[in-house]
Amino acid sequence: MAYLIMLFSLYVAGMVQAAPWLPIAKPPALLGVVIYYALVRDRRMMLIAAVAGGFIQDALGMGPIGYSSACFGVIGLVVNHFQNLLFTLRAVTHIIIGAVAAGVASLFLGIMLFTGGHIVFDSALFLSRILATTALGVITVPLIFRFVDYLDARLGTDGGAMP
Amino acid sequence: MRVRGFIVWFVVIISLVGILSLGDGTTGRLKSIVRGAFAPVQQMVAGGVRRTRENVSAVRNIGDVMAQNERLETELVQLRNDVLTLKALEQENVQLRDQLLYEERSDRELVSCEIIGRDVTGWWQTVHLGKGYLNKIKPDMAVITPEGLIGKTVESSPKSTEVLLVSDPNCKVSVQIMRTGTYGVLSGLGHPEDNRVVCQMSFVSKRARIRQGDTVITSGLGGIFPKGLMVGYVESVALDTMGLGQQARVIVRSDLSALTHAFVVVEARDPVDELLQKRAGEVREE
Repeated sequence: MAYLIMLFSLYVAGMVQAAPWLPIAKPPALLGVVIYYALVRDRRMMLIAAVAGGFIQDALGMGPIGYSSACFGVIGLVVNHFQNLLFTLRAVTHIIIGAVAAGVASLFLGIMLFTGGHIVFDSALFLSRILATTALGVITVPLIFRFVDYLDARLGTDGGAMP
Repeated sequence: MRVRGFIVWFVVIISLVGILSLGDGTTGRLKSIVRGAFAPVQQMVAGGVRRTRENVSAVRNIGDVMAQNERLETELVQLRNDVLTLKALEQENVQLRDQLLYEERSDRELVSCEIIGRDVTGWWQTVHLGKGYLNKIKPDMAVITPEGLIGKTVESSPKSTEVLLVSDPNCKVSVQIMRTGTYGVLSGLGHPEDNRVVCQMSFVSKRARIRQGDTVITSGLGGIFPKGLMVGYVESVALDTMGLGQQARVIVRSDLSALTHAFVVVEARDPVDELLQKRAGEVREE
């Protein structure tokens, strides 16, 4: 059941991220799911979420498959490493981690795509995209966290620890 | 415990290396499967949102319906007159074509598609169409709206297609200035300016006399975009950095941020090219 919830959450997050009425900056919804698993679950589930989430992001985009999985995996491992030191259920944690993770993921992905010759480098554009994604991470990640946690709580798996 | 941790790391690294080294064919098939899984729901959601918007708009603008009706009636009368004039011109055109031994011009076959999604990463300017190769859509086909060209298809799965918009720096289009016939290559700047899509027309001859407001159309060179599709208009012209040619800033006519529908040009045979190819074949046979 836990894996079905993960799959459904990733599907919904993919739908949100690919919405046609968001023309320029994208809310990091798939990354939000990865951060949820990094904060409240073990490393194995987090890595599965990271690889699957990255795969969906790359499959729905124009980039080569694997780049986003690598970014999400690294970010998820770092967040998961500090799991015991963080107030994992506090909204402020989700806001801060959401912003930082979204910015870092966007930066890593941008660098990988540029070095792979998939995008044209434009410093102003590069910076504006990273800042926009960071700002959207502040809003998106806490909301996605709540959503997945709600599903976990309702469907009786061992999540749903949010007050 | 330490050994288990090592195994997990090993499996993760091997999986990532495996995924990153997948070939184009496998990547394409995997993308096609994922897009196929998302497309029906995306279509449903996009359609639902569009219908809701239309209904809200209809209720809001109910007071303007009478004025709109009057305006449309006037437009209808004008269009009827235009059709009569065009019929005469068409007849003349047919006669001239007969004299020049032209084959009958094939109409462009357009496939109407709904926009169901956009790029998920934000690093490309792309949209997803709700139809794919089951509807004869393949990569490298021109995509237009009633206002003009918006991009080209890049990847297609059974029920969805990815379109690279003209605003993306990776999308290069061979264009020409309609008034002078001057050729150039159009590429996007990647971001809108003052809510307008601005592109750059490069490799323009230094001697060409381009004016502000000149209409830019596709040249038909390159084989992807048929000749004569409206692209936009020139905003300004300047010498390029090396001083070898000119560069023009072109404003794209279509509003790429508010796309709901688009048409894919699935067939666009240029009669002149066909005639030339036919003649070349005949010469070779002789």
